[in-house]
Amino acid sequence: MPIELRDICKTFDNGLKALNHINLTIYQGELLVLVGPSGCGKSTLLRLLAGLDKPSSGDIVFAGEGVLNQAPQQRNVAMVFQNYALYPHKSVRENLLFPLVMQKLDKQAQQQRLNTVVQLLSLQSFLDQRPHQLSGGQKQRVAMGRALVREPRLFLLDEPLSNLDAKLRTQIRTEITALQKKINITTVYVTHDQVEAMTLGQRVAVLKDGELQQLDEPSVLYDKPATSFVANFIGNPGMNLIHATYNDQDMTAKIGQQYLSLKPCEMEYGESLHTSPGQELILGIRPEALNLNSKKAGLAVKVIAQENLGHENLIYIQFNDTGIQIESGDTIVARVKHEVQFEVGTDVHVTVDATKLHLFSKNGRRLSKL
Amino acid sequence: MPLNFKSNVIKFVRYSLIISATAIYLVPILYMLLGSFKPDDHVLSGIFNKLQYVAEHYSLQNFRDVFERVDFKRYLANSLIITGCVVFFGLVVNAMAGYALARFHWQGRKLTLTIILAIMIIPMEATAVPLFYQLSILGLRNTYVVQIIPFIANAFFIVLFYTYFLSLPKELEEAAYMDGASPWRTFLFIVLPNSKPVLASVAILSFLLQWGNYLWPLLMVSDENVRPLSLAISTFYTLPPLQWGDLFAFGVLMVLPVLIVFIVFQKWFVQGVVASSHKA
Repeated sequence: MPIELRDICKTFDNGLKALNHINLTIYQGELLVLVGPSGCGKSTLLRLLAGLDKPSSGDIVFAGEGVLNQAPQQRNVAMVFQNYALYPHKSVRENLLFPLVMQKLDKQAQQQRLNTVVQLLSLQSFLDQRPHQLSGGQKQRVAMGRALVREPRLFLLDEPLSNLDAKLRTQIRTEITALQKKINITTVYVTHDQVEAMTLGQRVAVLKDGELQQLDEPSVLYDKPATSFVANFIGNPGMNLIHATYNDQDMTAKIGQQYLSLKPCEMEYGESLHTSPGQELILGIRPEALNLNSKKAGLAVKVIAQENLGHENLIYIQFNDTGIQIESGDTIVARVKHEVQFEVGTDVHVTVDATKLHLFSKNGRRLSKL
Repeated sequence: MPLNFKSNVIKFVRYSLIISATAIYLVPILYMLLGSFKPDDHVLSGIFNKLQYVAEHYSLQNFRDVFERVDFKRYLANSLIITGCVVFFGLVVNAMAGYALARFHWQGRKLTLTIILAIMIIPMEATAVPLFYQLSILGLRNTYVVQIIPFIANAFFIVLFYTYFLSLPKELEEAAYMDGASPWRTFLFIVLPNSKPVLASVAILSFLLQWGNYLWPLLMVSDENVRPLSLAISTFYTLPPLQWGDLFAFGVLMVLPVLIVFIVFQKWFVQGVVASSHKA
């Protein structure tokens, strides 16, 4: 079922603005991930879809039909809660049957649906146990089962993996992707974890402070972030963001006392580069686009810390030039090969591959070809 | 050695205090229990006095006397009917009120809650006389109804339910809504089954309060047919001849049902008091 959110705003009773003019279309059968830091409004958006909250203004349309006046139980939407919300006084079987009993389905149909879900999620071995006897992963599967047994029009998941340990999270993540492809129900998945978002979503919507930053396929989010926020949020570690002043005459960006030629960026950014000479820019540099060397080429930096991740190393560096303003924190991060090691405290130099630069205006919007 | 001696003395003093404090509460009950088995003329001669004699001559005569001299079964039935109705309807009404206050948003909710909290500090005795006039005008004296209706809605129990429901995870109810349950079914099938501790607490407290309720039936009831045990024991006392053994036997018979209820629901009761005190 395709879903449209039209100009949705939500302001809470205490005056908190949770969502600000959200426009969003979710395609039939798609798995859309809503991602953002806590407090960005992603869970609020999910609750609006579920009908547990009402928007302050705007419209929600399911398959061409406005649903704002429908209560949650009328929308045929299923939801998996962060803490699973399994009914503690019911066995797994009774938990799974509850939505069907509420639908007043006849006994035979109930049994049939139950069997399908039990097989789909391999719940056979603990059907007669109570939720408190189950492990986190099992609870998670039961919660998914209870949501799917109704064959809902829309499937909502609110940070379903956040209570699981890292290994199980990766495992269930792949299970969810496979399951969603199999059942082909339109799905909205909320998470604060950008890795989850990138691996699960066919499309990912990035939210910040109640505003939609970008809605695109994961690869586009990574390769062409629409805002400096998305650039820094997506990727681990995120993109380095450095303030610079642009000089149009020789097409250079001035970082502190150093100059960086932006000529290689002209192909990508074209006219948008030339519109306001002397403007302040934010340069976005992925950690892998930074080259560290001890040959005194490029910007002088000091190594602050080093993290060994096994297959690669992350080097945290600080500019020696104190006039440089960094948007993405105090230090910048370079990703280097496993063999490359730098002592903490050593002075090195860094060069940038200008073809891999991302350019943002002062207010964080990506400069684009006009 | 001296250290051990010192700690033993402290232990001795501590336990002596605890035991004597306990005795203050237990002795009257023991007195009643032993007295109910003693011949009438020996009852007032001290608790343990003539224990030897009583041990040899203990009898159930006093209990038989109670049933012969008054219609005890009638009073017991009256008390059970009245208390049963108050407990049952009280659970229904107070739980629903507490739920509405805890979970639904409606105009005047906060004001209602404030009023309910304020009502908690007004004792029944203060409103007894106006209530007496009101219900007399309605012609309800000497009925079961007049002994039940005023005690169903109870501000304290509403607050107990309210705080307990606030402590229940909201997601359970939201999950039920998503599963297609109406608010009413959610309350019935999801909320109530997870509220056993508070239900038990309110049931027991309400049972105890109602079982011993004396002032109200004294005002409203003169007809023996609807007289509860609490009132009956006082009229039994004034019924000559005054026989202390019979009176004590009456008391024992009156306490038994309370004891049974308490023992059966004890486990839940403790959980309930703990649960609601956490949040309150």
